Amino acid sequence: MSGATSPHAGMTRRNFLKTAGVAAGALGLAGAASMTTTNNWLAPAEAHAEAEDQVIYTFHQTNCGNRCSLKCTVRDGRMANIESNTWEEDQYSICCLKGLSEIQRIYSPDRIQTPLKRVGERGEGKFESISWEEAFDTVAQKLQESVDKYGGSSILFPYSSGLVYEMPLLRKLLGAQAICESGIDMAQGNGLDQTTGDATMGKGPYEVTDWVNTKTLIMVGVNLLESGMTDARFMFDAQEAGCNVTVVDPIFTSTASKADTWVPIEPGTDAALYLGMVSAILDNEWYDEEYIKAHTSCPFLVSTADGSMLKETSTAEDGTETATHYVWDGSRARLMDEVADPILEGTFEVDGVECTTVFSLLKENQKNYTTAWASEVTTIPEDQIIELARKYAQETPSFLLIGYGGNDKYSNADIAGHAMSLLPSLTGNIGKPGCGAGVRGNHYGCHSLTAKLGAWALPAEFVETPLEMQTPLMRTNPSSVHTVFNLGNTFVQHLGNYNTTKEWLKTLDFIVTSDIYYCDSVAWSDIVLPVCTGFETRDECGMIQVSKNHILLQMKVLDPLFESKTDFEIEHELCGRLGFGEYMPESTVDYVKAQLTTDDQAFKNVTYEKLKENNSIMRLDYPDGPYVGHTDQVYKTKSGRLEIYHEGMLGYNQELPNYESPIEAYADNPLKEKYPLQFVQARRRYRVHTQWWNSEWVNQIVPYPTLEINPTDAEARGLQSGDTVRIFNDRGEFSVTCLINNAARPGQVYMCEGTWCRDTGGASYQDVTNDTLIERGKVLPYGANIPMYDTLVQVEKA
Amino acid sequence: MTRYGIAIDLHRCTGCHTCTIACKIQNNIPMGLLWNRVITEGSDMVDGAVGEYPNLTRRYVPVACQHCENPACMRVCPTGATYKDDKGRVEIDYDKCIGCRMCMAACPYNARVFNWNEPHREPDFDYGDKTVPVRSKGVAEKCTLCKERTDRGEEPRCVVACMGRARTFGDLDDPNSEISKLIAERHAYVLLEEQGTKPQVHYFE
Repeated sequence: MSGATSPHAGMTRRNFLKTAGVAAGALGLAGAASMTTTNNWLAPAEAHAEAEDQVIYTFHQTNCGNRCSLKCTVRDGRMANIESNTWEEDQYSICCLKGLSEIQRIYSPDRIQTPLKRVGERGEGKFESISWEEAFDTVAQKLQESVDKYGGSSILFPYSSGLVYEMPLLRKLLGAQAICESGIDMAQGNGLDQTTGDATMGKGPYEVTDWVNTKTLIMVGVNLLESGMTDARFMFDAQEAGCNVTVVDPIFTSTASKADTWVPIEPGTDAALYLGMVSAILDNEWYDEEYIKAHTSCPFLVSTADGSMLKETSTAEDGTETATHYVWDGSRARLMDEVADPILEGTFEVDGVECTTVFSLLKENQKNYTTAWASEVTTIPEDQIIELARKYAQETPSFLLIGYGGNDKYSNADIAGHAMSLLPSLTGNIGKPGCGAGVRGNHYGCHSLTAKLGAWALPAEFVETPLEMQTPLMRTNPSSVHTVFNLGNTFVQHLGNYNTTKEWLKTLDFIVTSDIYYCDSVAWSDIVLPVCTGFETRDECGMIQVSKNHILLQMKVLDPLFESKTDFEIEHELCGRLGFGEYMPESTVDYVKAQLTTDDQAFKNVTYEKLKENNSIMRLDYPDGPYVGHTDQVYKTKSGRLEIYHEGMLGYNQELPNYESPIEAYADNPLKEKYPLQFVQARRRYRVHTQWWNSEWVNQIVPYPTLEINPTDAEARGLQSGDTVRIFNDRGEFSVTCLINNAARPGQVYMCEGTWCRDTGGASYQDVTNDTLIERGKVLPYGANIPMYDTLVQVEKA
Repeated sequence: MTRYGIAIDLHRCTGCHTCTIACKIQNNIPMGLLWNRVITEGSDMVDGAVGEYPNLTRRYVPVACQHCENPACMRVCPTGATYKDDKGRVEIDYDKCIGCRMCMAACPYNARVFNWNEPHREPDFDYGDKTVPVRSKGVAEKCTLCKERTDRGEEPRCVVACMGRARTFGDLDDPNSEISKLIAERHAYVLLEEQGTKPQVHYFE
């Protein structure tokens, strides 16, 4: 084992090089004799003390949810320093350890250096280096074959959320299917967004800078200080301004330790907590009666016979549906806009049909979900649930924050999102300063939530094929897909139960992956295309991004390293070979200029040249101060109100939230006899999904992945910190170093998500995760979620 | 006189280690060494917790050179390599350091690191602020309070990089400076006060 000095368990990169059965050239290291390691290649021939510093401004391309503008210093053609750039709104001038440590990761030995061609079996990871000519010719030919044989829909582009350019033109020109799989962490939005009409889990119609106006901030299943690091300062500013912060989480996270109150909860039971809080608010009449009459569906009439709503619907020319509902005015049913003070509760007869109100139905339904019941399910003391509800309803403004990837990774996430949406709806904690409900706006939010960039235009006939089913379903159901153009590490990151994924990958006609690093998905590819980092471009600039009221430009900092190319250049070359050359912009500068050509007045002062002059960042033309959305109390639902009754879910008994346990990780699951521990893959500040595991600078702080386990569970298994442990269930197994941590909840083990197989005994953490999709996913806006945390395992010493 | 120091609000420290990495890039610190560490208090691991679930606490404490008024390291340095400069910073003249490591043994804060081997950098070239002197094998090194930056009138890199805005830099001899006011108003304390080293890095919560 040549990786003897490595702290990683199992396979190492160097180990891999030896065992691959071919010479160093197998990973694309050949072709440049001096380039045997990145270090040798970079070693200076002489001292460079006199080198001139060149300062270049760009942004950090990753998907942590922030978008840091950076000031880079280049010395002798090498990245020598990374600092935060200055934003006009200076509170955003920041960059975390991951952005700064790019100075090493850019030059990582894990970079794919040349195009590769598979020489072994799929998944075996045996490759040989090929020329770009051969790579482009092969990929273009395979794409064309797939189109000729089956049509454009036979090509799927699964892409990672960390990209800023996902080859959108090639996808459209081919008529392919494409998706950044939403099943991994957006499922609470399935419930929440049906109530509010907002997009993606309430993202954006408020700013975290506005938390200084918040009195009660409740965070449920969100480790903000680690997953939204640049917002840490705003939580502390809020606390100093008098905001009381409660964190609900099974794990004693960094955020929990900084909260005024930490409420540990039984994993996957967030919905029960919300339902208990709703009962407390109803029982104690802490709801805002005037608000719910005017701005929610509470007074809307519903047939008691079949649960359908009494309403008039119409469809506008653009296809937008609107609905005007009937309410009871005290003597008869009338349209909602005609009645200032509708009756909230009761049973009425309308044209011979017995009707009641949504509010009456809610009150009746909530009888199943008393605070005592919620306490039993969540393990939170009943008086604490009642007090949390009281604070939320009475010590206002209140803000309810969730995260991508908390309850989203349990089968009942849509119910949690729906139950959660009742809290702002009943108390009016939405559309006012200091209020909000949903995920933090991150870089999409603020005033710039509404920003509209222009686009590079293609003739109208070129459109993507709508996704025919969620990608996890493609693995086990007949689908049109025969060819996969994989952008990033999607085979691991986006799909649970890796063995099922592997079986699917074996059946495909052709797989091409473009990536920067030798991630696990690469091993399953026929052709591998080396992409450069966001700091490297062929053209003068990379891409642009709108973020937090500003527009950011990605300028060229470095020439592409090794033989890598940008996603844009790869797309351009392939389009040329496929006969689409005439539709393509010549360079990223042309593409960006097309995006900056927009009618949106917020961009009226912005041009490409001005952006360059202004160090690659400009504030858009928006009012000062934090953005507060929905101040007009108009929502993007069909009725324009907060719709707590989801008529479309009638067939699933979820028109009002009805509790369901998690599908596997529930308290009295008999499977617990065999697999007694629940396995969570949490998000940590040291990595972003599958990225930064190869950051030697970050690894100086946390050297390798660890499975964290409570001392009680460790003792029962005779485990010590530092032991290698097997984590297994009927789906599969992997191994990793164990770390005993009091912060872990008894019965639950957690690991940072996104680990690489080489650090986990050659297998993936996804080998054990649950991939059962709930039936009602078919009718949910973001489909079913992949319940990766809803997983039971056993852990034993390896 | 000028007596530079840092005050750290421990409630605002999230343990993110951005200061550690910012310090490393600024000062061209090689692999294996760190000038600025973040300790999880009372725990032998990063991000551990004290107590028994669910009765837990956690506190992060960033620790680097405390720039003591009465530095233990300086008193034991046989060559005068370690000195207190005119801005109140504890500095090292690397040319005078003979690598005896007496300073490392004397420092109660374990703030100093030593170049046992030729420095190994990843990436393998000098990075960061090019006005920072490059250290060679056989010398001790530590936080300089970003001497090069603070001489230019800039704040230390850890201060500007802090995600939680936990750090305040300034002149302890100026009673009207923000840092002096914070120390008084927030009842700041120093680490290992009983050692009599009189640190110029203060902590409060």
